Amino acid sequence: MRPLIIEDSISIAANTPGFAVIVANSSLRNLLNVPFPAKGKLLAVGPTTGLRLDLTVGGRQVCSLCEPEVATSVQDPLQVINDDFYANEGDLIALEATNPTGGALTLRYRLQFDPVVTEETWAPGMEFDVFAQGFTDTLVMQRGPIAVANATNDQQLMDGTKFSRMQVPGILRVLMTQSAIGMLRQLLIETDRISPPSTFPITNRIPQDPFDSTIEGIEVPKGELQMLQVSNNSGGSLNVFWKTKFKKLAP
Amino acid sequence: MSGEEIEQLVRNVKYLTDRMDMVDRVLKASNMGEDMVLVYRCQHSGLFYDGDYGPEWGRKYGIGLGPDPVSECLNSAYEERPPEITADIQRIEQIMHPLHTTKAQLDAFLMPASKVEYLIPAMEDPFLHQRAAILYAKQLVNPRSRIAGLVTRWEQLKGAVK
Repeated sequence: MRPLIIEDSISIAANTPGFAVIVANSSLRNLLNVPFPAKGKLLAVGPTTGLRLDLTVGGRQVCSLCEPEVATSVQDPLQVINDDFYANEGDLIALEATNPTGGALTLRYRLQFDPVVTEETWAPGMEFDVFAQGFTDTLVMQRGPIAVANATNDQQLMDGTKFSRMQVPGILRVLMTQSAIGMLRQLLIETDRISPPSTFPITNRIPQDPFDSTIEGIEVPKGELQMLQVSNNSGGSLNVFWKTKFKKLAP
Repeated sequence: MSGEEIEQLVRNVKYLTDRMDMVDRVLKASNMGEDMVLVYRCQHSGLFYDGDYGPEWGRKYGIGLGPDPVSECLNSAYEERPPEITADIQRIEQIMHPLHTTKAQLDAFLMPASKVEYLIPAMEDPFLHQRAAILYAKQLVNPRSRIAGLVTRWEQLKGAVK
């Protein structure tokens, strides 16, 4: 079986919320549903900071308010947003972009679905649930730049996000960068301090996986609050970029 | 120029080179006065950023553009189609050729302060409102642009709604 690959660039008008990306290209409208049980991958870049993406597959959100890296072309694996989510046959792919800026911007993206079945084990229309086979999604949040004023202690980065408290247990991975040297980060799960205040990469971009990884393999029990905090006592305002990958341990 | 400003200028020059003897020679040879300022010229636009652009990269300038200083200047991508006019569009200014960061090379210059024309730093315009308005006006008159035709279509659509 062959993978399904959707690659496109599309201009999004200024001040546009929730723009349906795939539907907007008439030649891609017949690719709105995943044709076979598959593992998905999303890569995207923006021309400047500001664009935000949400990806929902079969009603399950797998990328939430993800801000793509500033670059001219999509490069695998540098600009992978999420490469670990799953879909059943017929699941609707809904990629939405928000452009809150005053100028039109171009989103460049690639969505790939690799089959997790073979022609010998599966035929179209056959009842098959990938999640019953033990596959689980990874949920990705990717934000930045977020300004952190001087003399800020423990600014909560995940405040106001939909998925800071997950209703399934999972394994959390955190990638972070800062715009210039001077910030410290720490991670708390409920009241447990998982990682003490430590510095993190100074690459001034949306984190690239795996280069900007800073915390890995943190088990998060069901319903517990994830708190990613930064402190800035550098003498001036700085910006932080962060990405969390939450591998669900249950569908 | 105050003592503090001269000190700042020397700091900025030292950021570029330790060869202050050579800098002195260049200044003397050029017969430069005290109103000279160190600036960085964007190779795309020919306009300038302040002399602290390099030292303040990641603090005041270039947020999200990587670790190495490049120009934050925006440009219009005329080779890309403007977005479609849909029912969600409220103002024709939302429809323009998309913008992108040029990441052009920067060169350090010593310039008479009166002759320096500065670019708008991204930090002063995080949502592109000022810079998009400037580029929209340029798109309206650029022969490569398809915006003018869309303005006419927008007027027709508005007329049809009335």
